[in-house]
Amino acid sequence: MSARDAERAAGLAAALAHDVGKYLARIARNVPPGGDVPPALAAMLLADVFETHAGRPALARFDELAPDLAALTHDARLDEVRALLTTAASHERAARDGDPAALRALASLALAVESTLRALARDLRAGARP
Amino acid sequence: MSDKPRLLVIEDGHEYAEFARLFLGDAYEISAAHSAEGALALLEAHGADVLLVDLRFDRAAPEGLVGDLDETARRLFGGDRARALRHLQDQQGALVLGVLRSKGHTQRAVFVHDFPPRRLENLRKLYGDVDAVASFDAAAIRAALSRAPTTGAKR
Repeated sequence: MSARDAERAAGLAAALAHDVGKYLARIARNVPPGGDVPPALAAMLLADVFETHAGRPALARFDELAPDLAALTHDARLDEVRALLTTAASHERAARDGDPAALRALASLALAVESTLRALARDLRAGARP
Repeated sequence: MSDKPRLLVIEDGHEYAEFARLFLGDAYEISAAHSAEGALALLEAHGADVLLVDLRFDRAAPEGLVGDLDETARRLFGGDRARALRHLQDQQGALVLGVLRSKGHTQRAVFVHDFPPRRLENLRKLYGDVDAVASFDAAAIRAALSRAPTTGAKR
Protein backbone atom coordinates (compact mmCIF):
# COMPACT_ATOMS: atom_id res chain seq x y z
CA MET A 1 0.00 0.00 0.00
CA SER A 2 1.33 3.46 -0.86
CA ALA A 3 1.89 6.00 1.90
CA ARG A 4 -1.05 8.01 0.56
CA ASP A 5 -3.32 4.95 0.65
CA ALA A 6 -2.11 4.04 4.14
CA GLU A 7 -2.95 7.55 5.30
CA ARG A 8 -6.37 7.35 3.69
CA ALA A 9 -7.02 3.93 5.23
CA ALA A 10 -6.04 5.25 8.66
CA GLY A 11 -8.39 8.21 8.17
CA LEU A 12 -11.30 5.96 7.20
CA ALA A 13 -10.67 3.66 10.14
CA ALA A 14 -10.54 6.67 12.48
CA ALA A 15 -13.86 7.87 11.06
CA LEU A 16 -15.41 4.44 11.61
CA ALA A 17 -14.13 4.32 15.18
CA HIS A 18 -15.53 7.79 15.81
CA ASP A 19 -18.77 7.93 13.86
CA VAL A 20 -19.82 4.34 14.52
CA GLY A 21 -17.92 2.89 17.47
CA LYS A 22 -17.65 5.78 19.89
CA TYR A 23 -21.23 7.02 19.61
CA LEU A 24 -22.72 3.54 19.38
CA ALA A 25 -21.23 2.68 22.79
CA ARG A 26 -21.96 6.00 24.51
CA ILE A 27 -24.65 4.59 26.80
CA ALA A 28 -23.66 0.92 26.54
CA ARG A 29 -20.27 1.73 28.07
CA ASN A 30 -22.05 2.87 31.25
CA VAL A 31 -24.56 0.05 31.65
CA PRO A 32 -23.63 -2.31 34.51
CA PRO A 33 -21.88 -5.30 32.84
CA GLY A 34 -24.23 -8.22 32.38
CA GLY A 35 -27.08 -6.39 34.06
CA ASP A 36 -30.34 -5.08 32.68
CA VAL A 37 -30.38 -1.73 30.93
CA PRO A 38 -32.06 0.73 33.32
CA PRO A 39 -35.29 2.12 31.81
CA ALA A 40 -33.90 5.65 31.97
CA LEU A 41 -31.07 4.60 29.65
CA ALA A 42 -33.01 2.37 27.25
CA ALA A 43 -34.24 5.15 24.96
CA MET A 44 -30.76 6.65 24.74
CA LEU A 45 -29.22 3.26 24.02
CA LEU A 46 -31.71 2.77 21.19
CA ALA A 47 -30.85 6.21 19.82
CA ASP A 48 -27.13 5.41 20.00
CA VAL A 49 -27.61 2.25 17.94
CA PHE A 50 -30.36 3.27 15.52
CA GLU A 51 -29.86 7.04 15.19
CA THR A 52 -26.10 6.98 15.52
CA HIS A 53 -24.97 9.37 12.83
CA ALA A 54 -27.11 12.20 11.49
CA GLY A 55 -30.19 10.35 12.70
CA ARG A 56 -29.36 7.17 10.83
CA PRO A 57 -28.38 3.74 12.20
CA ALA A 58 -24.80 2.75 12.89
CA LEU A 59 -25.09 0.16 10.15
CA ALA A 60 -25.90 2.83 7.55
CA ARG A 61 -22.86 4.91 8.50
CA PHE A 62 -20.71 1.78 8.54
CA ASP A 63 -21.86 0.93 5.03
CA GLU A 64 -20.90 4.42 3.84
CA LEU A 65 -17.35 4.20 5.12
CA ALA A 66 -16.37 0.53 5.16
CA PRO A 67 -16.38 -0.22 1.39
CA ASP A 68 -13.75 2.46 0.72
CA LEU A 69 -11.61 1.06 3.51
CA ALA A 70 -12.10 -2.51 2.30
CA ALA A 71 -10.92 -1.42 -1.15
CA LEU A 72 -7.65 -0.27 0.41
CA THR A 73 -7.01 -3.09 2.83
CA HIS A 74 -8.66 -6.43 3.46
CA ASP A 75 -9.30 -6.81 7.17
CA ALA A 76 -11.62 -9.48 8.52
CA ARG A 77 -12.65 -7.14 11.33
CA LEU A 78 -14.76 -5.17 8.87
CA ASP A 79 -16.83 -8.29 8.14
CA GLU A 80 -16.98 -9.02 11.85
CA VAL A 81 -18.30 -5.56 12.67
CA ARG A 82 -20.87 -5.68 9.89
CA ALA A 83 -22.13 -8.99 11.28
CA LEU A 84 -22.37 -7.48 14.77
CA LEU A 85 -24.31 -4.49 13.44
CA THR A 86 -26.63 -6.74 11.45
CA THR A 87 -27.30 -8.75 14.60
CA ALA A 88 -28.03 -5.51 16.45
CA ALA A 89 -30.55 -4.56 13.75
CA SER A 90 -32.29 -7.90 14.26
CA HIS A 91 -32.90 -6.96 17.92
CA GLU A 92 -34.44 -3.58 17.14
CA ARG A 93 -38.11 -4.47 17.36
CA ALA A 94 -37.77 -6.42 20.62
CA ALA A 95 -35.54 -3.75 22.13
CA ARG A 96 -38.03 -1.01 21.22
CA ASP A 97 -40.69 -3.11 22.92
CA GLY A 98 -38.57 -3.03 26.06
CA ASP A 99 -37.42 -6.64 26.06
CA PRO A 100 -34.59 -6.77 28.65
CA ALA A 101 -32.68 -9.52 26.82
CA ALA A 102 -32.74 -7.56 23.55
CA LEU A 103 -31.56 -4.39 25.31
CA ARG A 104 -28.76 -6.31 27.02
CA ALA A 105 -27.78 -7.79 23.66
CA LEU A 106 -27.67 -4.32 22.06
CA ALA A 107 -25.41 -3.04 24.83
CA SER A 108 -23.09 -6.00 24.49
CA LEU A 109 -22.95 -5.73 20.68
CA ALA A 110 -22.27 -2.00 20.89
CA LEU A 111 -19.26 -2.59 23.14
CA ALA A 112 -17.94 -5.29 20.82
CA VAL A 113 -18.25 -2.99 17.80
CA GLU A 114 -16.52 -0.14 19.60
CA SER A 115 -13.58 -2.20 20.78
CA THR A 116 -13.12 -3.87 17.38
CA LEU A 117 -13.22 -0.59 15.46
CA ARG A 118 -10.90 1.09 17.93
CA ALA A 119 -8.37 -1.74 17.57
CA LEU A 120 -8.64 -1.52 13.77
CA ALA A 121 -8.09 2.25 13.87
CA ARG A 122 -5.06 1.88 16.12
CA ASP A 123 -3.52 -0.77 13.85
CA LEU A 124 -4.03 1.22 10.67
CA ARG A 125 -2.77 4.40 12.33
CA ALA A 126 0.40 2.53 13.32
CA GLY A 127 0.74 1.28 9.75
CA ALA A 128 0.41 4.79 8.34
CA ARG A 129 3.03 6.29 10.64
CA PRO A 130 6.11 7.43 8.71
CA MET B 1 -27.00 29.74 41.29
CA SER B 2 -25.46 26.31 41.94
CA ASP B 3 -22.31 25.80 44.00
CA LYS B 4 -21.22 23.00 41.70
CA PRO B 5 -18.20 23.53 39.45
CA ARG B 6 -19.05 24.54 35.90
CA LEU B 7 -18.43 22.19 32.99
CA LEU B 8 -18.54 23.66 29.50
CA VAL B 9 -19.16 21.11 26.73
CA ILE B 10 -17.95 22.07 23.26
CA GLU B 11 -19.22 19.91 20.40
CA ASP B 12 -20.91 20.10 17.00
CA GLY B 13 -23.91 17.99 18.03
CA HIS B 14 -25.77 17.28 21.26
CA GLU B 15 -24.40 13.90 22.34
CA TYR B 16 -21.70 15.14 24.72
CA ALA B 17 -24.04 17.54 26.52
CA GLU B 18 -26.72 14.88 26.80
CA PHE B 19 -24.16 12.45 28.20
CA ALA B 20 -22.76 15.06 30.60
CA ARG B 21 -26.18 16.00 31.96
CA LEU B 22 -27.01 12.34 32.54
CA PHE B 23 -23.76 11.06 33.99
CA LEU B 24 -21.96 14.15 35.33
CA GLY B 25 -24.85 16.44 36.20
CA ASP B 26 -24.69 15.49 39.88
CA ALA B 27 -21.19 16.95 40.13
CA TYR B 28 -21.16 19.75 37.55
CA GLU B 29 -23.29 22.60 36.29
CA ILE B 30 -23.40 21.83 32.58
CA SER B 31 -23.50 24.28 29.68
CA ALA B 32 -22.81 23.69 26.00
CA ALA B 33 -21.38 25.55 23.01
CA HIS B 34 -21.10 24.55 19.37
CA SER B 35 -18.32 26.83 18.15
CA ALA B 36 -15.32 28.79 19.36
CA GLU B 37 -17.39 31.95 19.28
CA GLY B 38 -20.16 30.37 21.35
CA ALA B 39 -17.67 28.93 23.83
CA LEU B 40 -15.96 32.30 24.28
CA ALA B 41 -19.31 34.00 24.85
CA LEU B 42 -20.26 31.48 27.56
CA LEU B 43 -16.82 31.64 29.18
CA GLU B 44 -16.92 35.40 29.29
CA ALA B 45 -20.49 35.46 30.63
CA HIS B 46 -20.36 32.64 33.17
CA GLY B 47 -16.84 31.16 33.24
CA ALA B 48 -16.15 27.43 33.49
CA ASP B 49 -13.96 25.25 35.67
CA VAL B 50 -13.40 22.48 33.14
CA LEU B 51 -14.02 21.84 29.44
CA LEU B 52 -15.26 18.64 27.77
CA VAL B 53 -14.37 18.89 24.10
CA ASP B 54 -15.31 16.90 21.01
CA LEU B 55 -12.45 16.64 18.54
CA ARG B 56 -14.25 16.02 15.25
CA PHE B 57 -16.84 18.53 14.08
CA ASP B 58 -17.91 16.73 10.94
CA ARG B 59 -21.46 18.12 11.13
CA ALA B 60 -20.43 21.77 11.49
CA ALA B 61 -20.90 24.19 8.60
CA PRO B 62 -17.58 25.20 7.00
CA GLU B 63 -18.20 28.89 7.68
CA GLY B 64 -18.42 28.24 11.42
CA LEU B 65 -15.10 26.41 11.68
CA VAL B 66 -11.91 27.78 13.17
CA GLY B 67 -9.25 27.85 10.44
CA ASP B 68 -8.91 29.35 6.99
CA LEU B 69 -10.08 26.77 4.47
CA ASP B 70 -8.29 28.24 1.45
CA GLU B 71 -5.07 28.80 3.35
CA THR B 72 -5.18 25.25 4.78
CA ALA B 73 -5.84 23.84 1.31
CA ARG B 74 -2.94 25.80 -0.17
CA ARG B 75 -0.49 25.13 2.63
CA LEU B 76 -1.18 21.47 3.41
CA PHE B 77 -3.14 19.88 0.57
CA GLY B 78 -1.94 21.32 -2.73
CA GLY B 79 -5.09 23.39 -3.11
CA ASP B 80 -7.50 20.52 -2.45
CA ARG B 81 -10.32 22.25 -0.52
CA ALA B 82 -12.23 19.02 0.18
CA ARG B 83 -9.25 17.50 1.98
CA ALA B 84 -8.62 20.77 3.78
CA LEU B 85 -12.23 20.87 5.00
CA ARG B 86 -11.98 17.30 6.29
CA HIS B 87 -8.76 18.25 8.08
CA LEU B 88 -10.34 21.28 9.75
CA GLN B 89 -13.40 19.27 10.76
CA ASP B 90 -11.27 16.38 12.07
CA GLN B 91 -9.14 18.71 14.23
CA GLN B 92 -11.75 21.33 15.09
CA GLY B 93 -11.93 20.62 18.82
CA ALA B 94 -8.20 21.24 19.18
CA LEU B 95 -8.45 24.38 17.04
CA VAL B 96 -11.30 25.70 19.18
CA LEU B 97 -9.24 24.98 22.27
CA GLY B 98 -6.39 26.98 20.72
CA VAL B 99 -8.70 29.97 20.35
CA LEU B 100 -9.80 29.69 23.98
CA ARG B 101 -6.20 29.40 25.18
CA SER B 102 -5.25 32.48 23.15
CA LYS B 103 -7.91 34.40 25.08
CA GLY B 104 -6.50 33.29 28.42
CA HIS B 105 -8.87 30.42 29.24
CA THR B 106 -6.50 27.86 30.72
CA GLN B 107 -8.83 25.44 32.51
CA ARG B 108 -8.45 21.69 32.05
CA ALA B 109 -9.77 20.38 28.75
CA VAL B 110 -10.77 16.72 28.40
CA PHE B 111 -11.32 15.11 24.99
CA VAL B 112 -13.23 11.88 24.45
CA HIS B 113 -10.88 10.54 21.84
CA ASP B 114 -8.38 7.71 21.45
CA PHE B 115 -5.25 9.79 20.92
CA PRO B 116 -1.89 8.11 20.40
CA PRO B 117 0.39 9.01 23.34
CA ARG B 118 2.62 11.20 21.18
CA ARG B 119 -0.34 13.21 19.92
CA LEU B 120 -1.58 13.79 23.45
CA GLU B 121 1.87 14.98 24.47
CA ASN B 122 1.85 17.42 21.56
CA LEU B 123 -1.56 18.73 22.57
CA ARG B 124 -0.25 19.30 26.09
CA LYS B 125 2.74 21.19 24.75
CA LEU B 126 0.45 23.38 22.68
CA TYR B 127 -2.52 23.79 24.99
CA GLY B 128 -1.39 23.09 28.54
CA ASP B 129 -3.75 21.17 30.78
CA VAL B 130 -5.25 18.60 28.43
CA ASP B 131 -6.38 15.04 29.06
CA ALA B 132 -8.19 12.44 27.00
CA VAL B 133 -10.42 9.42 27.57
CA ALA B 134 -10.83 6.92 24.75
CA SER B 135 -14.57 6.33 25.11
CA PHE B 136 -17.72 7.65 26.77
CA ASP B 137 -16.77 5.98 30.05
CA ALA B 138 -18.44 8.15 32.68
CA ALA B 139 -16.17 7.07 35.53
CA ALA B 140 -13.02 7.65 33.48
CA ILE B 141 -14.25 11.04 32.26
CA ARG B 142 -15.18 12.08 35.79
CA ALA B 143 -11.68 11.10 36.94
CA ALA B 144 -10.02 12.96 34.07
CA LEU B 145 -12.02 16.11 34.77
CA SER B 146 -11.03 16.17 38.42
CA ARG B 147 -7.45 14.86 38.24
CA ALA B 148 -4.53 17.08 39.19
CA PRO B 149 -3.12 19.11 36.28
CA THR B 150 -1.23 17.13 33.67
CA THR B 151 2.55 17.34 33.48
CA GLY B 152 3.70 20.50 31.80
CA ALA B 153 0.29 22.09 32.12
CA LYS B 154 0.18 25.85 31.84
CA ARG B 155 -2.07 27.01 34.63
